Amino acid sequence: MHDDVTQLVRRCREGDELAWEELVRRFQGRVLGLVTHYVRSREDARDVAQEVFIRVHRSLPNFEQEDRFVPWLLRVTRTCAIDHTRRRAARPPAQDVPVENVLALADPAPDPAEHAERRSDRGLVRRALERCSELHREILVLRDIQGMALQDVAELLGIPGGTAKSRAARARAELARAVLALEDEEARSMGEEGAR
Amino acid sequence: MNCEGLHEHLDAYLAGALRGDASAAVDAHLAACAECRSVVAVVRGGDRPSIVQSVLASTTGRTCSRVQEELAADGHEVFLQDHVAECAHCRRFARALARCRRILPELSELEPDADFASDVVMSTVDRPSLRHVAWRRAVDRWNGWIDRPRAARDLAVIVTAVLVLLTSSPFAPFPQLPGRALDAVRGTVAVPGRAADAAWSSVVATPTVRHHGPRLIEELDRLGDGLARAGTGFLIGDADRVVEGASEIECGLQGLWLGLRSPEERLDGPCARAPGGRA
Repeated sequence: MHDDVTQLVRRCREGDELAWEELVRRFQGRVLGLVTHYVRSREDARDVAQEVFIRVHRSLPNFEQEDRFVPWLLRVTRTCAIDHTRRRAARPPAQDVPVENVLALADPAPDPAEHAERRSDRGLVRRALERCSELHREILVLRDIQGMALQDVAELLGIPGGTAKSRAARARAELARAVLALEDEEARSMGEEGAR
Repeated sequence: MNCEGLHEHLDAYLAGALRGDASAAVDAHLAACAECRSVVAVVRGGDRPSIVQSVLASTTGRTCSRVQEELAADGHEVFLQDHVAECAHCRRFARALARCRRILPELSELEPDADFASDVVMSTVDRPSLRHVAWRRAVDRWNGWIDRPRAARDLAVIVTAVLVLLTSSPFAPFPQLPGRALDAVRGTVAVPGRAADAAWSSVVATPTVRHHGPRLIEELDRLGDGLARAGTGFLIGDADRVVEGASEIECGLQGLWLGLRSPEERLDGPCARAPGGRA
Protein backbone atom coordinates (compact mmCIF):
# COMPACT_ATOMS: atom_id res chain seq x y z
CA MET A 1 0.00 0.00 0.00
CA HIS A 2 2.75 2.40 1.05
CA ASP A 3 4.95 1.64 -1.99
CA ASP A 4 1.85 1.67 -4.11
CA VAL A 5 1.07 5.25 -3.04
CA THR A 6 4.69 6.30 -3.60
CA GLN A 7 4.55 4.87 -7.10
CA LEU A 8 1.24 6.62 -7.74
CA VAL A 9 2.62 9.96 -6.54
CA ARG A 10 5.69 9.53 -8.75
CA ARG A 11 3.51 8.90 -11.78
CA CYS A 12 1.42 11.97 -10.92
CA ARG A 13 4.57 14.10 -10.78
CA GLU A 14 5.54 12.81 -14.20
CA GLY A 15 2.24 14.16 -15.51
CA ASP A 16 0.18 10.95 -15.62
CA GLU A 17 -3.44 12.18 -15.46
CA LEU A 18 -4.84 8.68 -14.89
CA ALA A 19 -2.62 8.26 -11.84
CA TRP A 20 -3.89 11.61 -10.59
CA GLU A 21 -7.51 10.47 -10.88
CA GLU A 22 -6.68 7.24 -9.02
CA LEU A 23 -4.96 9.27 -6.29
CA VAL A 24 -8.04 11.47 -5.90
CA ARG A 25 -10.34 8.44 -5.76
CA ARG A 26 -8.17 6.72 -3.21
CA PHE A 27 -7.86 9.62 -0.78
CA GLN A 28 -11.15 11.47 -1.28
CA GLY A 29 -12.85 9.71 1.67
CA ARG A 30 -9.97 10.38 3.99
CA VAL A 31 -9.65 14.03 3.03
CA LEU A 32 -13.39 14.56 3.38
CA GLY A 33 -13.33 12.70 6.72
CA LEU A 34 -10.64 14.99 8.09
CA VAL A 35 -12.19 18.16 6.68
CA THR A 36 -15.52 17.29 8.32
CA HIS A 37 -13.91 17.41 11.74
CA TYR A 38 -13.05 21.07 11.19
CA VAL A 39 -15.81 22.25 8.86
CA ARG A 40 -19.36 21.51 9.94
CA SER A 41 -21.37 22.23 6.81
CA ARG A 42 -21.58 19.35 4.34
CA GLU A 43 -21.43 21.67 1.33
CA ASP A 44 -18.51 23.63 2.74
CA ALA A 45 -16.68 20.38 3.57
CA ARG A 46 -17.03 19.24 -0.02
CA ASP A 47 -15.73 22.57 -1.33
CA VAL A 48 -12.80 22.52 1.06
CA ALA A 49 -11.93 18.90 0.11
CA GLN A 50 -11.99 19.94 -3.53
CA GLU A 51 -9.75 22.90 -2.76
CA VAL A 52 -7.35 20.52 -0.98
CA PHE A 53 -6.95 18.42 -4.10
CA ILE A 54 -6.53 21.49 -6.32
CA ARG A 55 -3.82 22.76 -3.99
CA VAL A 56 -2.17 19.32 -3.98
CA HIS A 57 -2.29 19.26 -7.80
CA ARG A 58 -0.60 22.64 -7.92
CA SER A 59 2.10 21.75 -5.38
CA LEU A 60 2.80 18.20 -6.53
CA PRO A 61 5.56 19.20 -9.01
CA ASN A 62 7.48 20.79 -6.10
CA PHE A 63 6.80 17.90 -3.71
CA GLU A 64 9.87 15.69 -3.60
CA GLN A 65 9.33 13.41 -0.58
CA GLU A 66 7.14 10.95 -2.46
CA ASP A 67 7.20 8.39 0.36
CA ARG A 68 5.79 10.98 2.79
CA PHE A 69 2.73 11.81 0.74
CA VAL A 70 0.03 10.87 3.28
CA PRO A 71 1.31 13.05 6.14
CA TRP A 72 1.76 15.89 3.66
CA LEU A 73 -1.77 15.42 2.30
CA LEU A 74 -3.19 15.47 5.84
CA ARG A 75 -1.16 18.61 6.58
CA VAL A 76 -2.51 20.37 3.48
CA THR A 77 -6.03 19.23 4.38
CA ARG A 78 -5.74 20.60 7.90
CA THR A 79 -4.35 23.91 6.64
CA CYS A 80 -7.16 24.31 4.09
CA ALA A 81 -9.81 23.42 6.65
CA ILE A 82 -8.42 25.84 9.24
CA ASP A 83 -8.12 28.59 6.59
CA HIS A 84 -11.76 27.99 5.72
CA THR A 85 -12.96 28.11 9.31
CA ARG A 86 -11.02 31.35 9.84
CA ARG A 87 -12.56 32.87 6.72
CA ARG A 88 -15.93 31.58 7.83
CA ALA A 89 -15.54 33.03 11.31
CA ALA A 90 -15.24 36.47 9.72
CA ARG A 91 -18.88 36.23 8.55
CA PRO A 92 -21.80 34.60 10.36
CA PRO A 93 -22.81 31.15 8.99
CA ALA A 94 -26.06 31.03 7.01
CA GLN A 95 -27.25 27.66 8.30
CA ASP A 96 -24.98 24.83 9.35
CA VAL A 97 -26.02 21.19 9.38
CA PRO A 98 -25.02 19.52 12.68
CA VAL A 99 -22.03 17.21 12.24
CA GLU A 100 -23.91 14.14 13.45
CA ASN A 101 -26.41 14.44 10.61
CA VAL A 102 -23.63 14.97 8.14
CA LEU A 103 -21.79 11.85 9.25
CA ALA A 104 -24.93 9.73 9.57
CA LEU A 105 -25.82 10.46 5.95
CA ALA A 106 -22.66 8.88 4.65
CA ASP A 107 -22.43 5.72 6.80
CA PRO A 108 -22.06 2.63 4.63
CA ALA A 109 -24.42 -0.19 5.64
CA PRO A 110 -23.20 -3.71 4.84
CA ASP A 111 -25.40 -5.75 7.20
CA PRO A 112 -28.50 -4.19 8.83
CA ALA A 113 -28.08 -5.82 12.28
CA GLU A 114 -24.33 -5.28 12.49
CA HIS A 115 -24.79 -1.84 11.03
CA ALA A 116 -27.31 -0.86 13.69
CA GLU A 117 -24.96 -2.04 16.44
CA ARG A 118 -21.93 -0.34 14.97
CA ARG A 119 -23.91 2.72 14.23
CA SER A 120 -25.04 3.10 17.79
CA ASP A 121 -21.46 2.60 19.01
CA ARG A 122 -20.15 5.00 16.39
CA GLY A 123 -22.84 7.51 17.19
CA LEU A 124 -21.95 7.35 20.86
CA VAL A 125 -18.23 7.86 20.19
CA ARG A 126 -18.97 10.71 17.79
CA ARG A 127 -21.18 12.46 20.30
CA ALA A 128 -18.49 11.94 22.94
CA LEU A 129 -15.93 13.40 20.52
CA GLU A 130 -18.08 16.51 20.18
CA ARG A 131 -17.93 16.96 23.95
CA CYS A 132 -14.13 16.90 24.05
CA SER A 133 -12.19 20.13 24.08
CA GLU A 134 -10.98 21.52 20.74
CA LEU A 135 -7.37 20.76 21.63
CA HIS A 136 -8.09 17.14 22.54
CA ARG A 137 -10.45 16.55 19.64
CA GLU A 138 -7.82 17.64 17.14
CA ILE A 139 -5.15 15.31 18.47
CA LEU A 140 -7.65 12.41 18.55
CA VAL A 141 -8.61 13.12 14.95
CA LEU A 142 -5.00 13.19 13.77
CA ARG A 143 -3.52 10.44 15.90
CA ASP A 144 -6.30 7.89 16.48
CA ILE A 145 -8.73 8.55 13.64
CA GLN A 146 -6.30 9.35 10.82
CA GLY A 147 -3.59 7.10 12.32
CA MET A 148 -0.73 9.56 11.90
CA ALA A 149 2.59 8.75 13.58
CA LEU A 150 3.14 10.55 16.87
CA GLN A 151 6.18 12.37 15.47
CA ASP A 152 4.19 13.61 12.46
CA VAL A 153 1.38 14.83 14.72
CA ALA A 154 3.88 16.67 16.91
CA GLU A 155 5.46 18.26 13.86
CA LEU A 156 2.09 19.24 12.41
CA LEU A 157 0.91 20.84 15.65
CA GLY A 158 4.30 22.40 16.34
CA ILE A 159 4.73 20.76 19.76
CA PRO A 160 7.41 18.44 21.20
CA GLY A 161 6.90 14.67 20.79
CA GLY A 162 6.51 14.14 24.55
CA THR A 163 3.80 16.79 24.74
CA ALA A 164 1.95 15.18 21.84
CA LYS A 165 2.10 11.79 23.54
CA SER A 166 0.79 13.01 26.89
CA ARG A 167 -1.84 15.19 25.21
CA ALA A 168 -3.05 12.17 23.21
CA ALA A 169 -3.33 10.13 26.44
CA ARG A 170 -5.30 12.88 28.18
CA ALA A 171 -7.51 13.26 25.12
CA ARG A 172 -8.33 9.53 25.06
CA ALA A 173 -9.10 9.63 28.77
CA GLU A 174 -11.42 12.60 28.23
CA LEU A 175 -13.13 10.79 25.37
CA ALA A 176 -13.64 7.60 27.41
CA ARG A 177 -15.07 9.65 30.29
CA ALA A 178 -17.38 11.43 27.86
CA VAL A 179 -18.55 8.03 26.57
CA LEU A 180 -19.28 6.90 30.13
CA ALA A 181 -21.11 10.14 30.90
CA LEU A 182 -23.24 9.72 27.77
CA GLU A 183 -24.01 6.11 28.73
CA ASP A 184 -25.09 7.23 32.19
CA GLU A 185 -27.28 9.97 30.72
CA GLU A 186 -28.91 7.51 28.33
CA ALA A 187 -29.49 5.00 31.15
CA ARG A 188 -31.07 7.75 33.29
CA SER A 189 -33.34 8.96 30.52
CA MET A 190 -34.41 5.39 29.77
CA GLY A 191 -35.13 4.85 33.49
CA GLU A 192 -37.25 8.00 33.57
CA GLU A 193 -39.19 6.88 30.51
CA GLY A 194 -39.73 3.47 32.13
CA ALA A 195 -41.01 5.11 35.32
CA ARG A 196 -43.57 7.06 33.27
CA MET B 1 -9.29 -28.14 54.78
CA ASN B 2 -8.80 -26.32 58.06
CA CYS B 3 -8.30 -22.62 58.72
CA GLU B 4 -4.48 -22.83 58.49
CA GLY B 5 -4.71 -24.59 55.14
CA LEU B 6 -6.97 -21.82 53.87
CA HIS B 7 -4.53 -19.09 54.97
CA GLU B 8 -1.80 -20.85 53.00
CA HIS B 9 -3.90 -20.81 49.86
CA LEU B 10 -5.59 -17.46 50.45
CA ASP B 11 -3.43 -15.30 48.15
CA ALA B 12 -3.66 -17.77 45.26
CA TYR B 13 -7.42 -18.09 45.83
CA LEU B 14 -8.01 -14.33 45.81
CA ALA B 15 -5.87 -13.93 42.67
CA GLY B 16 -8.03 -16.59 40.97
CA ALA B 17 -4.98 -18.82 40.46
CA LEU B 18 -6.37 -21.79 42.40
CA ARG B 19 -7.79 -24.61 40.28
CA GLY B 20 -9.61 -27.93 40.67
CA ASP B 21 -9.72 -29.70 44.05
CA ALA B 22 -7.82 -27.02 45.94
CA SER B 23 -10.32 -24.35 44.85
CA ALA B 24 -13.27 -26.61 45.72
CA ALA B 25 -11.74 -27.34 49.16
CA VAL B 26 -11.36 -23.59 49.88
CA ASP B 27 -14.97 -22.97 48.80
CA ALA B 28 -16.17 -25.82 51.06
CA HIS B 29 -14.22 -24.47 54.03
CA LEU B 30 -15.47 -20.93 53.49
CA ALA B 31 -19.03 -22.21 53.36
CA ALA B 32 -18.53 -23.82 56.74
CA CYS B 33 -16.25 -21.32 58.54
CA ALA B 34 -17.64 -17.86 59.34
CA GLU B 35 -14.32 -16.58 60.68
CA CYS B 36 -12.44 -17.34 57.40
CA ARG B 37 -15.33 -15.78 55.43
CA SER B 38 -14.83 -12.56 57.35
CA VAL B 39 -11.06 -12.66 56.64
CA VAL B 40 -11.69 -13.08 52.93
CA ALA B 41 -14.28 -10.27 53.03
CA VAL B 42 -11.78 -7.92 54.69
CA VAL B 43 -9.06 -8.67 52.15
CA ARG B 44 -11.42 -8.47 49.20
CA GLY B 45 -13.11 -5.36 50.34
CA GLY B 46 -16.81 -6.13 50.12
CA ASP B 47 -18.84 -3.43 51.80
CA ARG B 48 -15.79 -2.06 53.54
CA PRO B 49 -12.60 -0.84 51.84
CA SER B 50 -10.07 -3.55 50.91
CA ILE B 51 -6.64 -3.64 52.48
CA VAL B 52 -5.08 -2.14 49.33
CA GLN B 53 -7.62 0.68 49.32
CA SER B 54 -7.06 1.32 53.01
CA VAL B 55 -3.30 1.45 52.52
CA LEU B 56 -3.63 3.76 49.51
CA ALA B 57 -6.05 5.98 51.39
CA SER B 58 -3.48 6.54 54.12
CA THR B 59 -0.46 6.84 51.77
CA THR B 60 -0.73 8.05 48.15
CA GLY B 61 -4.50 8.43 47.96
CA ARG B 62 -6.70 6.94 45.24
CA THR B 63 -4.78 6.40 42.00
CA CYS B 64 -7.74 5.97 39.65
CA SER B 65 -7.22 9.15 37.60
CA ARG B 66 -3.52 8.37 37.19
CA VAL B 67 -4.33 4.77 36.21
CA GLN B 68 -6.86 5.98 33.66
CA GLU B 69 -4.37 8.31 32.03
CA GLU B 70 -1.81 5.52 31.93
CA LEU B 71 -4.39 3.22 30.35
CA ALA B 72 -5.07 5.85 27.72
CA ALA B 73 -1.35 6.28 26.88
CA ASP B 74 0.18 4.70 23.82
CA GLY B 75 1.87 1.85 25.67
CA HIS B 76 0.64 1.30 29.22
CA GLU B 77 2.16 -0.60 32.14
CA VAL B 78 1.21 -4.24 32.61
CA PHE B 79 0.83 -3.92 36.38
CA LEU B 80 -2.18 -1.62 35.91
CA GLN B 81 -4.21 -4.76 35.22
CA ASP B 82 -4.31 -5.63 38.95
CA HIS B 83 -5.82 -2.24 39.73
CA VAL B 84 -8.30 -2.52 36.88
CA ALA B 85 -9.31 -6.04 37.96
CA GLU B 86 -10.16 -4.79 41.42
CA CYS B 87 -11.58 -1.31 40.68
CA ALA B 88 -15.04 -1.41 39.10
CA HIS B 89 -14.81 2.27 38.11
CA CYS B 90 -11.53 1.79 36.21
CA ARG B 91 -12.80 -1.46 34.70
CA ARG B 92 -15.70 0.42 33.18
CA PHE B 93 -13.35 3.16 32.03
CA ALA B 94 -11.05 0.56 30.39
CA ARG B 95 -14.01 -0.96 28.54
CA ALA B 96 -15.09 2.46 27.24
CA LEU B 97 -11.51 3.21 26.23
CA ALA B 98 -11.21 -0.09 24.34
CA ARG B 99 -14.44 0.71 22.52
CA CYS B 100 -13.12 4.15 21.53
CA ARG B 101 -9.85 2.65 20.31
CA ARG B 102 -11.77 0.18 18.18
CA ILE B 103 -14.19 2.69 16.70
CA LEU B 104 -12.01 5.77 16.14
CA PRO B 105 -10.09 4.40 13.10
CA GLU B 106 -13.45 3.59 11.49
CA LEU B 107 -14.22 7.33 11.46
CA SER B 108 -11.22 8.19 9.27
CA GLU B 109 -13.10 8.13 6.00
CA LEU B 110 -16.31 9.71 4.92
CA GLU B 111 -18.01 8.47 1.78
CA PRO B 112 -18.11 11.39 -0.65
CA ASP B 113 -20.86 11.77 -3.19
CA ALA B 114 -20.44 9.92 -6.48
CA ASP B 115 -19.44 13.02 -8.46
CA PHE B 116 -16.74 14.25 -6.12
CA ALA B 117 -13.70 12.62 -7.78
CA SER B 118 -14.82 13.51 -11.29
CA ASP B 119 -15.49 17.12 -10.20
CA VAL B 120 -11.98 17.35 -8.77
CA VAL B 121 -10.45 15.86 -11.91
CA MET B 122 -12.47 18.23 -14.09
CA SER B 123 -11.42 21.27 -12.09
CA THR B 124 -7.75 20.27 -12.25
CA VAL B 125 -7.88 19.35 -15.95
CA ASP B 126 -8.77 22.98 -16.74
CA ARG B 127 -5.56 23.96 -15.05
CA PRO B 128 -2.17 23.45 -16.66
CA SER B 129 -1.29 19.75 -16.60
CA LEU B 130 1.40 18.51 -14.23
CA ARG B 131 3.79 18.02 -17.16
CA HIS B 132 3.03 21.53 -18.39
CA VAL B 133 3.60 22.90 -14.92
CA ALA B 134 6.99 21.13 -14.78
CA TRP B 135 7.91 22.65 -18.15
CA ARG B 136 6.78 26.10 -17.01
CA ARG B 137 8.92 25.76 -13.92
CA ALA B 138 11.93 24.86 -16.07
CA VAL B 139 11.28 27.90 -18.30
CA ASP B 140 10.86 30.16 -15.26
CA ARG B 141 14.11 28.88 -13.83
CA TRP B 142 15.89 29.53 -17.14
CA ASN B 143 14.42 33.03 -17.37
CA GLY B 144 15.47 33.74 -13.82
CA TRP B 145 19.00 32.66 -14.66
CA ILE B 146 19.27 34.49 -17.96
CA ASP B 147 17.83 37.75 -16.56
CA ARG B 148 20.74 38.13 -14.18
CA PRO B 149 23.20 40.94 -15.06
CA ARG B 150 26.08 38.44 -15.22
CA ALA B 151 24.30 36.00 -17.53
CA ALA B 152 26.21 37.19 -20.66
CA ARG B 153 29.57 36.81 -18.94
CA ASP B 154 28.60 33.35 -17.62
CA LEU B 155 27.46 32.27 -21.07
CA ALA B 156 30.73 33.55 -22.59
CA VAL B 157 32.75 31.56 -20.02
CA ILE B 158 30.72 28.41 -20.75
CA VAL B 159 31.02 28.79 -24.55
CA THR B 160 34.77 29.46 -24.27
CA ALA B 161 35.26 26.43 -22.06
CA VAL B 162 33.32 24.25 -24.51
CA LEU B 163 35.33 25.57 -27.47
CA VAL B 164 38.63 25.00 -25.64
CA LEU B 165 37.57 21.46 -24.77
CA LEU B 166 36.54 20.77 -28.38
CA THR B 167 39.57 22.27 -30.09
CA SER B 168 42.54 22.75 -27.78
CA SER B 169 42.49 20.13 -25.05
CA PRO B 170 44.77 17.06 -25.38
CA PHE B 171 41.82 14.90 -26.40
CA ALA B 172 40.00 17.51 -28.48
CA PRO B 173 37.93 15.95 -31.27
CA PHE B 174 38.42 18.97 -33.61
CA PRO B 175 42.01 20.21 -33.14
CA GLN B 176 42.27 21.62 -36.68
CA LEU B 177 39.14 23.73 -36.45
CA PRO B 178 40.68 27.05 -35.28
CA GLY B 179 43.37 26.95 -37.98
CA ARG B 180 40.86 26.23 -40.72
CA ALA B 181 38.54 28.95 -39.50
CA LEU B 182 41.41 31.42 -39.54
CA ASP B 183 42.39 30.32 -43.06
CA ALA B 184 38.82 30.72 -44.24
CA VAL B 185 38.56 34.21 -42.75
CA ARG B 186 41.85 35.28 -44.33
CA GLY B 187 40.88 33.67 -47.62
CA THR B 188 44.21 31.92 -47.73
CA VAL B 189 44.93 28.26 -48.17
CA ALA B 190 46.49 26.09 -45.52
CA VAL B 191 50.26 25.55 -45.35
CA PRO B 192 51.21 23.16 -48.16
CA GLY B 193 52.55 19.82 -47.16
CA ARG B 194 50.17 19.30 -44.22
CA ALA B 195 48.40 16.12 -45.22
CA ALA B 196 45.47 16.68 -42.85
CA ASP B 197 44.72 20.04 -44.49
CA ALA B 198 45.04 18.82 -48.03
CA ALA B 199 41.31 18.29 -48.56
CA TRP B 200 40.44 21.66 -47.03
CA SER B 201 43.10 23.39 -49.09
CA SER B 202 41.67 21.94 -52.24
CA VAL B 203 38.24 23.29 -51.33
CA VAL B 204 39.52 26.74 -50.45
CA ALA B 205 41.63 26.82 -53.62
CA THR B 206 38.70 26.22 -55.97
CA PRO B 207 37.78 29.17 -58.24
CA THR B 208 34.28 29.35 -56.77
CA VAL B 209 35.50 29.86 -53.22
CA ARG B 210 38.19 32.28 -54.38
CA HIS B 211 35.55 34.21 -56.34
CA HIS B 212 32.76 34.24 -53.72
CA GLY B 213 34.79 33.89 -50.52
CA PRO B 214 35.54 37.53 -49.56
CA ARG B 215 32.01 38.66 -50.32
CA LEU B 216 30.46 35.79 -48.34
CA ILE B 217 32.75 36.46 -45.38
CA GLU B 218 31.71 40.10 -45.49
CA GLU B 219 28.02 39.14 -45.40
CA LEU B 220 28.62 36.55 -42.69
CA ASP B 221 30.33 39.26 -40.68
CA ARG B 222 27.25 41.44 -41.11
CA LEU B 223 25.01 38.54 -40.05
CA GLY B 224 27.19 37.97 -36.99
CA ASP B 225 26.96 41.68 -36.12
CA GLY B 226 23.18 41.49 -36.36
CA LEU B 227 23.00 38.41 -34.14
CA ALA B 228 25.28 39.97 -31.54
CA ARG B 229 23.31 43.23 -31.56
CA ALA B 230 19.92 41.47 -31.26
CA GLY B 231 21.25 39.11 -28.57
CA THR B 232 22.68 41.97 -26.51
CA GLY B 233 19.44 43.91 -26.91
CA PHE B 234 17.46 40.89 -25.71
CA LEU B 235 19.73 40.36 -22.70
CA ILE B 236 19.63 43.96 -21.52
CA GLY B 237 15.97 44.39 -22.46
CA ASP B 238 16.63 47.10 -25.07
CA ALA B 239 13.88 46.70 -27.70
CA ASP B 240 15.43 49.24 -30.13
CA ARG B 241 18.67 47.34 -30.22
CA VAL B 242 16.79 44.08 -30.85
CA VAL B 243 15.00 45.70 -33.82
CA GLU B 244 18.31 47.05 -35.19
CA GLY B 245 19.88 43.62 -34.81
CA ALA B 246 16.94 41.95 -36.54
CA SER B 247 17.18 44.30 -39.55
CA GLU B 248 20.96 43.69 -39.68
CA ILE B 249 20.31 39.93 -39.71
CA GLU B 250 17.80 40.38 -42.51
CA CYS B 251 20.31 42.42 -44.53
CA GLY B 252 23.02 39.82 -43.88
CA LEU B 253 20.80 37.03 -45.17
CA GLN B 254 19.85 39.07 -48.26
CA GLY B 255 23.51 39.88 -48.85
CA LEU B 256 24.47 36.20 -48.57
CA TRP B 257 21.83 35.28 -51.11
CA LEU B 258 22.92 38.03 -53.49
CA GLY B 259 26.61 37.26 -52.94
CA LEU B 260 26.08 33.64 -53.93
CA ARG B 261 24.38 34.67 -57.20
CA SER B 262 26.55 37.62 -58.20
CA PRO B 263 29.39 38.66 -55.90
CA GLU B 264 29.90 42.03 -57.55
CA GLU B 265 26.33 43.21 -57.10
CA ARG B 266 25.62 45.22 -53.95
CA LEU B 267 22.44 45.58 -51.94
CA ASP B 268 20.68 48.90 -52.19
CA GLY B 269 17.99 50.59 -50.11
CA PRO B 270 18.18 50.34 -46.32
CA CYS B 271 20.72 47.49 -46.58
CA ALA B 272 23.23 49.49 -48.59
CA ARG B 273 26.59 49.52 -46.81
CA ALA B 274 27.65 52.80 -45.31
CA PRO B 275 31.18 53.97 -46.11
CA GLY B 276 32.31 52.89 -42.65
CA GLY B 277 31.23 49.34 -43.38
CA ARG B 278 28.03 49.57 -41.30
CA ALA B 279 24.54 49.78 -42.74
